[in-house]
Amino acid sequence: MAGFVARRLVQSVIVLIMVSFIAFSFLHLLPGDAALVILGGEATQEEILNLRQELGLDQPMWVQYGRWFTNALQGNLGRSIFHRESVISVIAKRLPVTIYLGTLALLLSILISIPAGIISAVRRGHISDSIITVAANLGMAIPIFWLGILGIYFFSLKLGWLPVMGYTSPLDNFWLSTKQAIMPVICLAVIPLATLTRQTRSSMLEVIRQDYIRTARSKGLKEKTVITRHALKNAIIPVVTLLGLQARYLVGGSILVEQIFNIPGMGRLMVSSVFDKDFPIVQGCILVVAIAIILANLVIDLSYGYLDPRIRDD
Amino acid sequence: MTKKGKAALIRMVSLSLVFALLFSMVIAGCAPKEPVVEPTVPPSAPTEPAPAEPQKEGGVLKLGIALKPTVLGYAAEMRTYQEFLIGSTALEPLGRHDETGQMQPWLAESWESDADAKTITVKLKKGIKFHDGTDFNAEAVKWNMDEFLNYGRAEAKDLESTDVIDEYTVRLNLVTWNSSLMDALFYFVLMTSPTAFQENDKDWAANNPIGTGPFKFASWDRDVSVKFTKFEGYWQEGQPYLDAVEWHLIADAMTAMASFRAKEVDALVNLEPGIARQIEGMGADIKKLETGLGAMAIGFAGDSINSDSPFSDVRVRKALSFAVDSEEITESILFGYAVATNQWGVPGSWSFNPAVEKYAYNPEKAKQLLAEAGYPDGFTTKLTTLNSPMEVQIMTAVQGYLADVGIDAQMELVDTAHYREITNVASDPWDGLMLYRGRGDADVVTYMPRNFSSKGLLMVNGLITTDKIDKLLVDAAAASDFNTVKQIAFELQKEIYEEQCIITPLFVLTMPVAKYPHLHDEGFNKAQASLWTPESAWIEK
Repeated sequence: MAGFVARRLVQSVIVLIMVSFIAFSFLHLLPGDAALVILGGEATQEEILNLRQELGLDQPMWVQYGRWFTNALQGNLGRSIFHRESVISVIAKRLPVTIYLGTLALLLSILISIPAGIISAVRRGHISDSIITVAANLGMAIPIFWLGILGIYFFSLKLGWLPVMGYTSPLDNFWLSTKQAIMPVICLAVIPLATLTRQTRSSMLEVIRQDYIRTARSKGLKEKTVITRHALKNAIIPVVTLLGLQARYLVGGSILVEQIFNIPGMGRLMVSSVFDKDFPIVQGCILVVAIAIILANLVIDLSYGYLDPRIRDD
Repeated sequence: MTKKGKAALIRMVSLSLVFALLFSMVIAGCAPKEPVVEPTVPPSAPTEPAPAEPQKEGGVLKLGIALKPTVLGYAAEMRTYQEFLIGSTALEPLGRHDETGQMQPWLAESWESDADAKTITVKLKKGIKFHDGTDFNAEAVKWNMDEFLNYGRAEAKDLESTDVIDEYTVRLNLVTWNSSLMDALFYFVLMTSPTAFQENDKDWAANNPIGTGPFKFASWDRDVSVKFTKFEGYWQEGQPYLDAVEWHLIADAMTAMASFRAKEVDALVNLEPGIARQIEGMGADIKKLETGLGAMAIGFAGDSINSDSPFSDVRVRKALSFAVDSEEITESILFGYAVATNQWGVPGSWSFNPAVEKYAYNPEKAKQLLAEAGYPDGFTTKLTTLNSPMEVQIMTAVQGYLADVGIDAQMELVDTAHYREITNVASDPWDGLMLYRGRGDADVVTYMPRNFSSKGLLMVNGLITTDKIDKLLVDAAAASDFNTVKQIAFELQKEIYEEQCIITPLFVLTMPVAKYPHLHDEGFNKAQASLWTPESAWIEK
């Protein structure tokens, strides 16, 4: 096990270096000059040159990357061109917001999707299966921005129950924070909820037709025990894999939801930094998201062994 | 019925139910609001006593704006509309434009200019303090002017130095006399505390506006909000009235509109015309800027500098102006939230020359000019524009008008960073037609050279310049009396927009601000779009 983890960690470091280099190269290939974004189109050549020099943008790309990489190895992700503070401190402000909302959304989707998927599979062909299947299909088809705008229209403008926008930390004002989080969390949860429901249903359908399930039933085990202890544990592996893919939203956020509800999360930070040519921020965000995805995948790989002893023995 | 058939029936019924539910939700959303019955007042109601003086003090003013600032506390790096607007919650300049567009003293008590001696002497108001408790005096003004000058700002190119005469008097020494320098410096140099800057650094100062304004900086959450609280030591007796001001940076137009409708914000600043139109009738007042000062002008221009370009021929450039109906664009796409123009500034402003060719919409004339220029069947070109909703809409209309006269303009969309790069003086000339975004100000001396002088900065890489225009721009700057400046401005307008037709101007935006009636004396769009006067704003309880 230790050897497996060590191998994966070494692979991860190589992946991170490659990701950071590719991201850096692509960002520098984009047209547009960060100095002009800051100074405006009416800047003099002298101003542009001075600022480019001050920001180190006058150096060749490989020199800039080398400097960034050396600093990153020492835990220094650089200084944001626009925010005028360290990248780590900018990300430290945005990441908790995204993780908070993302975690709530993921919990909500897990809590609903797995029971819904099980019910749908066990009661295949019944009205409950039809409703769940149709709802899951709708969840995958509904555009998130449309759902967000519809939510604002009904719950904020028509009913006046929820605020239109904003984010407040639950530590500052729990009640306001909860009200502000409801619509974004629902919007964030819709797609994973639908995907996980469908995956749980199809995995369960596959498993409950197996001989060992029939055997378990014929042994006289209660249906609940058959489903939860024998069927679900085997059917859950593809669902866990899918959950791992959601990790990127936990730290990367969703630009659409953050834009609609005016939430200061990682998604908006990344997109606005790309448009602003704020390279250090984009690099920092990509690094954080890549690390999160690598860690999530590692945890998922390890969890396979727990869920299926055959994998552990291999 | 078989088991299979039963299941299919159940599935069909449930599908229908879900769709019906969804459909009803959408329909309910689109349904008109129920009419509200206002309580009637009996005709014999006794006359109410005269209302008492309203309670002006208190309240938090919440403002929504889509544009995000980059710098708020270091004048040398502040350039954009939103930076000036939000920054002026805490920072103040030496002078402000009055409602006629004339510069009047603000932090300055008075000033005196001497064109022969090339000096401007400024006397400052006494007893004004910065938010950090330090004095606003001649040393502070000198420090601010020096920072602006040393940064290399184009507006300060004719400023040589600033001398402190006494504690409350400074003298600006000019390299050459410039009739607009006073206007430019007094508007652009928002006074910040030298002590705060020196105790920290430039980056800190850029993020922390420490000025003399009515509100003290409290916090800036990037992309979210900028908050200010009342400055108790403000120099205007009894002001400000509000306890705090919050700027909410709302990038999404639909969200901004919803937050205004839900009264989460009291006013929305710099609305897109389409949004302003939707807000009409929500019980809000919409304030438009009539002067063009600080507003954005939109148009387009060909790469006239390239000798092999069709746009190097003045007849083709004139054909562009005859081909496009700017009045129609202003009315149908901008819903009247812009003023159509055929030259620099808006009709009625002091530098607007009514004698300049109006280029009334005339596609036949445009075709005739194209034929004379050797393009009887038109030609194909590129039309580069910013990838933002309004600009794309406008340029799509322009594309249609050009197609009608035989010019096939292929639209290319670019982001702000790319647009700034390809229109900057340091870049190679662009190819084809380019969106023009400039100022709507009457002051031709400060702003016109940016586009039309051979030493200009913006779009000059693609536009022709002439010796005559260069000379007129120099003469306008050197003129010592207003009438001479005005006369030269008229000549400039004629030369640039009629004789050379370098740019096809379309309109100047009116920068609409929507506010609820409970917000009084809010101070937006009084004369200058980017000048906000928050000290007098108050909220009716």
